[in-house]
Amino acid sequence: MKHIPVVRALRVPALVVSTIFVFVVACATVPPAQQEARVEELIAFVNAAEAEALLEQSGRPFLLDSEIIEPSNDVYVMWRNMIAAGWALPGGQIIGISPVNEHTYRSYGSGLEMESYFSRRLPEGSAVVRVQTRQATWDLLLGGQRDGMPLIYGIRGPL
Amino acid sequence: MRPRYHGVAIIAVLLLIAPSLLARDAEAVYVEGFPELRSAAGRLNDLFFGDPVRGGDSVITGSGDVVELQLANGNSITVSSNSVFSLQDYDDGGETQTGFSNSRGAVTYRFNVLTGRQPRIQSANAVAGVRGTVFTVFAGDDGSSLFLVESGRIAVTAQGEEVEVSEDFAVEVRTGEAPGEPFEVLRGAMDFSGWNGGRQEALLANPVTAAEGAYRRMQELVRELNTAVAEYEPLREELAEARAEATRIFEADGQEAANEFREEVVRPLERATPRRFLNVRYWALSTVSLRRHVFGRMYSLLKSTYVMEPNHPDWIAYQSVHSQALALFEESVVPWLVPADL
Repeated sequence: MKHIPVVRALRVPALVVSTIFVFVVACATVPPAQQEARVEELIAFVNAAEAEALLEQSGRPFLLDSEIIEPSNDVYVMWRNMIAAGWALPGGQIIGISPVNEHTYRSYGSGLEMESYFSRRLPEGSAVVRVQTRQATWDLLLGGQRDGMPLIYGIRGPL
Repeated sequence: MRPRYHGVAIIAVLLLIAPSLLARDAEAVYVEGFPELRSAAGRLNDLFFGDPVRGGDSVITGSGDVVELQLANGNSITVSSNSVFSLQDYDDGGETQTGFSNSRGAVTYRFNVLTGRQPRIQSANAVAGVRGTVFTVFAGDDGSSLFLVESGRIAVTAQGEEVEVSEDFAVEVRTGEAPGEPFEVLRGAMDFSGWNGGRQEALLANPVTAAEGAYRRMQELVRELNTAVAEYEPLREELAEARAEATRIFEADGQEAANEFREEVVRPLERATPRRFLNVRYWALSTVSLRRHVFGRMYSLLKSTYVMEPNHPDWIAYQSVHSQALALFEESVVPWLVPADL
């Protein structure tokens, strides 16, 4: 079996080393918002979290449908009300991850507000993640990260 | 149809009035908790002790945050927790003034020193004229406001009606309505969270009434904006014509004649036009505040309440008024904004 020189002494197959290398590089370069495993972790977190924890996992300004919410207390009250209303992502399946690009804002609204929000307020590497639950379909707007898990910048739905 | 934006023109005029925007209007002399400053450039940063706060900036406080601002004339303003407080410059008879507004939460003004003109003080739905006083403006979740006077007097105006409020009295202004009757308040007995809780209940009980009231206020602000635009546009055109005329004079009669014309005609117009534009910006940004912090808050409260009942009749009815307000905002206000405002 062929071995690559650096690890020849360890007798590790080149294929294994290459796979690990590709995985490590991918994790380091693909933003958490665009990594399925990270988003699944986030969905599990959302289903178990209280409003305070969700606030900490939220990016601001927050986008609820096409409404920009700036004060942290407003984001907290939104999560508190949504949890009280029974909102969660039970059995949430990721059905699409779309990296945010210069056209994404159009699906949220045609005006300057959404154009400005998507171009100025979101971190690099953000994504719109479509999640199908047992009850409905939601779009999560994810970006940045906290402890490796993407921050929630917005929710839209039910679609 | 997508409205026409005046983006490039707005930036050009903002550059002309930049010196007034850079003036230090207030300073944070006391900071508790982790308040934030949203700059005129649209950036959200932590606000620290000693930070300057300028025209176009907003102070945003969360739970447990308090900020005290000192103005250049020695007066002070206290921004309580869960509030949004903004400063915005405007032109008042050729003088640049700074107006204050809180679209959310509670702000106390200690205006013991009044020199020159009275500052313009707004809540989401009413304007207060100051008579040398200490008073607090509470802005509720449904766009209503409450003005409470601790000393001196204020005049509160909404929907074209004015009410005078004296020491130890308060007046409530329901969104989209004229001020109510002033009522006596025991000093220290006013509880903002209790009052706001009542306003939140009113919003949830009848969201359409609250939204229609806020929509009437938006229409009122748009009327003010249109008046400011009507005063600004002829001056802008006059300036453009004067500049063209200066070029013609230069070509026909030479540099000296052109310089004379510029000094006599162009320069005064160059000074007056940006000042007039300040008022366009003032009313446009006042409407942004209403749109963001009153309509945004109402939407967020109702959407999160009815998130599992998207066909609830109250939610459907609210969305209809909300859409009308957004259409008006997009059509009449957005053309006078730059991306950083949003």
